Amino acid sequence: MVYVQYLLLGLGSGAVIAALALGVLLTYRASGVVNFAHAALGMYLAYTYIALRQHGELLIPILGLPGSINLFPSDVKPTWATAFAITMLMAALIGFVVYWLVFRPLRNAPAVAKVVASLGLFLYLLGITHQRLGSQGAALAKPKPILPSNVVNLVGVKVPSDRLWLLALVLIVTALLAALFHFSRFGLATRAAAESEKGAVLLGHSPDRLAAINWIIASMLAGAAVILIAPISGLDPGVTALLIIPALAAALLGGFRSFTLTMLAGLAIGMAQSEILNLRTQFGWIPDLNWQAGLPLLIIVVIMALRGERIPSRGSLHHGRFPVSPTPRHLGWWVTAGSAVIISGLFTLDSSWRQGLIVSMVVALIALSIVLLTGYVGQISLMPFALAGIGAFTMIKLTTDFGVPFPFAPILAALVATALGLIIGIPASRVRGINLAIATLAAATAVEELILNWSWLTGGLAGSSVPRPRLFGIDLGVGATGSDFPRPAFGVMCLVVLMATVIVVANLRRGSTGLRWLAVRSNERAASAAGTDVRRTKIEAFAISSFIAGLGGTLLAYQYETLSVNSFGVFASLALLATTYLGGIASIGGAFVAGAIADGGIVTAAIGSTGSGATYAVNGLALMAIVVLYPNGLLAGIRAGTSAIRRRVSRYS
Amino acid sequence: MKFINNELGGVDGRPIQFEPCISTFSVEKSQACAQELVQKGAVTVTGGIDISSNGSIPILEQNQVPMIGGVPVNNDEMISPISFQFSGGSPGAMVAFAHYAAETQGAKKVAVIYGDYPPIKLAAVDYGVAELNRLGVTDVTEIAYPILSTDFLPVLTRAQENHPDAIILSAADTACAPAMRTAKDLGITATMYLVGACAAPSIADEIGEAAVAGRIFNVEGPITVDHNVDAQIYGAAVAKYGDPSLPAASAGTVSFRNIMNIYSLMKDLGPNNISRQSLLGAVRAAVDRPSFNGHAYTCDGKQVPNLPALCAPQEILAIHENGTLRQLTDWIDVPAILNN
Repeated sequence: MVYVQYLLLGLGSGAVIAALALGVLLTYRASGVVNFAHAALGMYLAYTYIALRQHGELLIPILGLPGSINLFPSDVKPTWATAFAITMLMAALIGFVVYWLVFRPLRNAPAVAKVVASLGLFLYLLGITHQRLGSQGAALAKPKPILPSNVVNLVGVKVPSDRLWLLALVLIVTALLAALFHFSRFGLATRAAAESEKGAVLLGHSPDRLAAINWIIASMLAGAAVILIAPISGLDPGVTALLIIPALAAALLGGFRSFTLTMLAGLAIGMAQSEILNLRTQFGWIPDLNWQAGLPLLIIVVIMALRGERIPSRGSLHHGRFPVSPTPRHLGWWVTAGSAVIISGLFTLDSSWRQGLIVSMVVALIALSIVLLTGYVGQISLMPFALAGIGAFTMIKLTTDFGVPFPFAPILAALVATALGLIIGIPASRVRGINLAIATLAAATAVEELILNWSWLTGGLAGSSVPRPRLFGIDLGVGATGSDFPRPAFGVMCLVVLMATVIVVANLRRGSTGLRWLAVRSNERAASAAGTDVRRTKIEAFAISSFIAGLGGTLLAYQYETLSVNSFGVFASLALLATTYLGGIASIGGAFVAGAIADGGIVTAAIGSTGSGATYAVNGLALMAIVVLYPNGLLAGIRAGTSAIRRRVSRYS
Repeated sequence: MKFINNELGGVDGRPIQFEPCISTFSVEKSQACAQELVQKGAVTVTGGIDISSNGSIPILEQNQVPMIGGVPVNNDEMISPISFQFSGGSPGAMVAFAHYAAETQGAKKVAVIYGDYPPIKLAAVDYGVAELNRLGVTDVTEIAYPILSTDFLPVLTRAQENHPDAIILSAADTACAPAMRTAKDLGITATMYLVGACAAPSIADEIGEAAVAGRIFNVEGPITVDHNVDAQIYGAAVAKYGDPSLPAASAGTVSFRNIMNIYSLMKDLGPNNISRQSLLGAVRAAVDRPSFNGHAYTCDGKQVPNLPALCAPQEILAIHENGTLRQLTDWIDVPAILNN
């Protein structure tokens, strides 16, 4: 009986997850965008509602404009219904503008470009919220909840009625959305457009108009959901925005197709978390790990791998293609010249520039794992930093507890990361595209919660202090006093590892392996027909990519000197995917651009960073603008521009 | 800093230069901040809330730059030999809660709820639960919840099942309102202990008096302003130089304490004798040295076992009653409890 009770107690959590997941699904069905910013949008709208209720002010979400305008006289505070209605209007406006300016231009872009744009939107919304709230931040008082919370008895357990009201609302919205999509002309047209945009156009429907309307509805759902769930879950810019992870998992379990299944999946995740809490406290023998957060996601990865392809692909007019992957040429020249420039920088530049250079090299190394797996093979993985974390903590464990010396410890640690990458990669090779991205996002979260938070691995109270690397008596550590930090010797070690990896990756790309990779990337069926073992090719790429990420993690560990699990969160992977994409995800140069613009990299050293809310908003805006203007990345844009100039010059010469 | 330089005349007429650097919760940026401050010749560093301080601490250690004061949320700030905190952080709060619950309240059954995040878990289990067990309270239910929790209902229902006399919650401030509201909805009568951040007036405004009444919080300074000169000075400084939108009870009180304590150390050393080494020596030699609007501090590394950086882990407990926060205890001597 107690097990059933805990399942019921999880209904509130499940309703929260389902409420957000429905909006995620609607956005995907409308425009093929998996919107990572959906919960962040809801969070911003919830603060809009609060500002209206508390001060009668409307927050303006546009950077550069005044933070808010007074809609009511200072002595008048709007009722919840008025504030809610105004917030919904704002939600509709934001939904329309975001679709029209950002995602509509990207409708024919590759899936990864849309992921990058939604990450830009995520950053923008976080930044603008921080900027608008200013120093009030979390201390901003919230108004009274809309839903009543008197307690009712449900099969022997007390449940505040707001959870049941929320559940009822979620059921109603699910039913309405299902009915809308099954019986209304608009819904049928949206479904038709999702199946075949060409067909919808021939029938007189505008896919853009349909998508815009659905974005408006999804934005309103996001705002309404977070306003209603805030009293249950709390409201905080960073934490609420991350509720997207369980919401994505629910949408994934629902196959990104069915509102009913998505709603049920959301409820199931909440109920599972509640039951795991019960089991964890009931049975002392269960290992002390964060099962509530990790286990449901792990199960989703397994289910998804067993069932294979989950997300239906949209029948868009033009299928987004990955950017062109140029064959690495003049490798010797580039490596020699690049090494010479970096070495001279390491021995001549001042401390902050050296630091920026080293950060850039380490990040570029991890970004190479993305170039290989996503750029060359077309597998969107969102777990490079989780694998880097495994590499980092394993290296420390091997060195401190097992006495494994440098350089064997980092190599073995990278091999452990490879093994984990394979454990996830082998089943994940059954899925592809955006569904693989979400599967790896779930896997990365599970790794973070179940492994990287494991006190045995992370050192518990004592923390993870990183031993200095030494080779033949030479100190290769980063630490030094004053302006001698970071030591150039560490920079040289990073350079050697980076350039060796570049040479290996470039040679693989130029050889038959690279051709197989590109064949799989462009058309798996055609590749298979031509004799390529698609599955083996993918697994091989997963292994090499995981090794590189793990190796990068060990360098990060040496660079940080003490480690914390915060460095390896899923959003670090998302941010790196975004910057690598901007640089050029299908070329080695893209990894170097990602390294250069990484937080703390050489661009930071050059221009500095205040790290204010405005900076996040500007970064998010820049990310969206660049991906809209150069959907194939900056380097591809520069190459295209250079070719155009050359053509023009040759025409006139 | 403006208050010190303008109103107190700096260190014997020489103003203190303040160089802010925001870590943005990024290890790289935290590292870059530390290096930038080292390069600029900073004699000391004081911290805010920085969950990525593992980036800055090693650099400060290598350069023997003392980190004097902060809001210790990371293990690194609590164990580093160059870190000196005028606070007990979460471990200090958990020990005080456990001690008060067992000794004064006479609790026999306790539920300890904590966010599943290493520093929070460490405080709850290694200090809170350990102290309860040491005092003979063995009926302790430990309940971990994910930081990204969507509902406290299962957590508090589990806590309530054993009919505890006390519930201790070790959590980030985002959990305060939903946890207290859910406890009220469930009609939980056990005394609930929460970290000081949960005592913010805005939270009480949000969830209503009924949800806050009877809850016990830890505070790190006397809460009555009438006879408290330090609190009056702080109020005056905020009124003249502070951000008017900043709530009176916020991290600002901790930062002001940090700066004032650094100023006091510098003043004792004299303007010509201030260096990293002299500050390190002075702060390490501190025994029951007065702290601004807080408990006197002793930085002998022995106040809290295994957490040598916590110099003033003493706590005051306050209870929310009749719409206001009332001081419940005098200073609870956490070091004496732990070293007993």
